[in-house]
Amino acid sequence: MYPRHDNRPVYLSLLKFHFPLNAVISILHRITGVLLVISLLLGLIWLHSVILQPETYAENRQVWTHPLGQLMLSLGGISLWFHWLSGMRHLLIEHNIGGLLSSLERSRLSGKMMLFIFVIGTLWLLWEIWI
Amino acid sequence: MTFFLSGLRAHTWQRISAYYLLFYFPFSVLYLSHRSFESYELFQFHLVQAEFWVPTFIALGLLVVHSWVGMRDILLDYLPRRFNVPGLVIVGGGLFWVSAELIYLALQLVR
Repeated sequence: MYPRHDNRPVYLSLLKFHFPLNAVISILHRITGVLLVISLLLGLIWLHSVILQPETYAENRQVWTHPLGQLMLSLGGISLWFHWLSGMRHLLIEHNIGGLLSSLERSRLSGKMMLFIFVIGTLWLLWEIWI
Repeated sequence: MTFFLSGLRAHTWQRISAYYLLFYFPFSVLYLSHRSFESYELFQFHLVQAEFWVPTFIALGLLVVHSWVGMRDILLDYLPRRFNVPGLVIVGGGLFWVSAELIYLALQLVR
């Protein structure tokens, strides 16, 4: 963040900006990364309870069949899936595999393909968790 | 010295951990999805198998490194400068606790 030395009002409405697909994927990569760190902490608390109290294993397992547990599992799973896919795309672009750096058109196409795979995987994941 | 100041070290660790985790997650999903976790004994048995815990232990270490570099970048990019140090201390302390807790739980599991 740039330091400001004046008191002029600043108006930045993020809803008025139109970001290109690469920028949207990049910011979502960061948001899902933060969600994954939070999921890691929650998962660790659950694992702590399971390992230190083996006699309550059955009760601890039931957490994941409760709607709130299923919601957290869905959020964590979707975040991991998106972060993994966009991270892989980023690494492929960095090494120009498939010529992804050579043209804007290919970069856009790879972004759309990634989102398509993400939606398919997310539907499968939600099916597995909720149904 | 430039290596330490340019962010190249953080970038290198971020890439190394990203490559490892890219392959680790599909491996762990495949490994765990074919196992039964009906009882604590089964849960413990599957987790302490060498073919699982060795790559998992490396993955968890690299996951902490990956989280630190990522969260550090986010804090430096979006937090006002006066909150940078407290923010980094909170995130660093939290990840240190995660590392210590993981080692403690791993030791409890193999007991």
